[in-house]
Amino acid sequence: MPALRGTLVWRLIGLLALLVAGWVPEVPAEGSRTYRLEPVAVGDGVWMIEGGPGHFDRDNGGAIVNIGLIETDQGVVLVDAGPSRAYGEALQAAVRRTFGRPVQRVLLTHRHPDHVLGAQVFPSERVCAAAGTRAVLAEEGQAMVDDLFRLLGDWMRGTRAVQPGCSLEAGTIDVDGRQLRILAAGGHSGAEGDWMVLDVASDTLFAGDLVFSRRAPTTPHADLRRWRQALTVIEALAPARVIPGHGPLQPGLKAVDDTRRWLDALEAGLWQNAAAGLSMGEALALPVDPAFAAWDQAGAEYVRSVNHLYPGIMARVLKGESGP
Amino acid sequence: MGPSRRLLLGIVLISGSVSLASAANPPDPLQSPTWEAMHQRVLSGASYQFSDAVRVIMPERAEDATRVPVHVELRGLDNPRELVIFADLNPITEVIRLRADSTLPARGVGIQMKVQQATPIRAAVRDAQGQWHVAGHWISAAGGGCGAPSRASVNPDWNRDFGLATGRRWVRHTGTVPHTRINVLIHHPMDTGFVAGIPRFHLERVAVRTPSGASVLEAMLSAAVSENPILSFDLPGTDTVAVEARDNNGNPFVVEWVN
Repeated sequence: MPALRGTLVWRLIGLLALLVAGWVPEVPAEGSRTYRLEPVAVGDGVWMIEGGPGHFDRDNGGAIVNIGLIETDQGVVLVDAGPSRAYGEALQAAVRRTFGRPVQRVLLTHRHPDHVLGAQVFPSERVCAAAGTRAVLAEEGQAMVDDLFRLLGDWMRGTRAVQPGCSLEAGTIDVDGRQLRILAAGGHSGAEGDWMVLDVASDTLFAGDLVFSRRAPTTPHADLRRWRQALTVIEALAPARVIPGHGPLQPGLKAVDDTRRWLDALEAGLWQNAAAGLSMGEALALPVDPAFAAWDQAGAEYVRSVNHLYPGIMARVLKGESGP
Repeated sequence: MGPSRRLLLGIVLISGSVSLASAANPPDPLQSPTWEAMHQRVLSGASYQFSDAVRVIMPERAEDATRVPVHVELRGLDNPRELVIFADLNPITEVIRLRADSTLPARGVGIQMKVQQATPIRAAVRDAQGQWHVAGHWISAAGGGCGAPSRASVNPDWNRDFGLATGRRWVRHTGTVPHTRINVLIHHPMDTGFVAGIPRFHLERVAVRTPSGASVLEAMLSAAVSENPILSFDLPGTDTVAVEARDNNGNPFVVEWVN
């Protein structure tokens, strides 16, 4: 049966070709899938790793978040831990390389995955989060991992949901002789709240995502009124420096001012548009306020914020309200 | 005949047949795999053209797949009769269909809708000659908007606001010509029936009438319209209107106006 044999031969050749194609290893481009984390000293015993610009994508691996580092006699306290297992490993390596001492404690400011998922490489009893944050991580942790897998792909390999084993509460804690004030606030991440860490010795506030610096704030769980109250708390505290959750370190309270200006303009604009009768689609299509056009992600976050906040504001306008 | 001339003839024949086909059925600029099925099902197989007389304003990505805003504007179509918004690859393709007894008065329509996956979202407007004018864009989406339970269905207090229907009107001017924008919110779970144990339950019909009861337009809604929908319509003139709605269980809703 020559015809059949011919088919068989071609099938074998095809199979071989497939095997060869499958065997050729995918060569990663130079520098891809490697987090380059460089702690930079910003004060006496306080450091930060500045995240890059942008939104989560397959080029940046989600390394858009700032990490705080506080030196103690025995080791290092981390404020937040990055988006993935690989990020956590790179963070651990960066700490070892820079300080030659281990991570003593990881303090998670809030629920969002870019801040928490890297914590899984540290012993859970050293990873601390507030009760509300721990509850939401237990409930929605897997969904958060799935979300980031979709956005970041292979960067997320091996990442699972993280369950902190240590409780973060408001008050002052002592880590190896270093006094840290833990402040409860909220407004960025919903009912679970946002937690800030003040290093008393250097008067440095690690503000988490209550403060964004030259990068548009994100609002998926935002309560703008509560968020502004948190900014007022920071202003009253007037620390020597404020480490934002995203974006570069700026002098004094500049990033706090920036965040407040954005939130005020965002909310006022959304109310104005809803009061003028714009549909959600029309509001979405408006250009971003030129005062903020130079900020990273200004246009994209405006669009996201219309999605998050505009339906609620429209509903209030349609029930006869005229302002926040 | 040499091989090259045969090839040339082939190309001429093929391109001739393509141009013949495109005269009858223009190719889909969005290259949807199901465009022809949409043409048959949503536009009843009638003649159509892709047109910039219809403008569809929507995001490129679905930030929230249960609430994607879509706004449609009609420009320079003087005698529209029917308008339909649909999404080719949605499990519920048709979202809303507007009809009037004669000319469709609405020149702008705003809705929010659910998307289950990346899909073209389109608006088609039928003119007095029966020709459809079609426009739209792709949206990318993580998905799940149609398969998610409504917030109401997992909220024990769901019927606290159920049925609340409220609206507001704005008189606007295009040059000196006034028109009226109405936005109405109707609290309704808009359940798709795709979630086990939660039956399909959605607003089915929204009627806009003059105060004396004459029909201005009728909108047929599917469960692909978002929960607690806010509908926007641009209507000619400055007259007030009444808006009533009915769901698939027969519940009636009457919009109360705050102005």
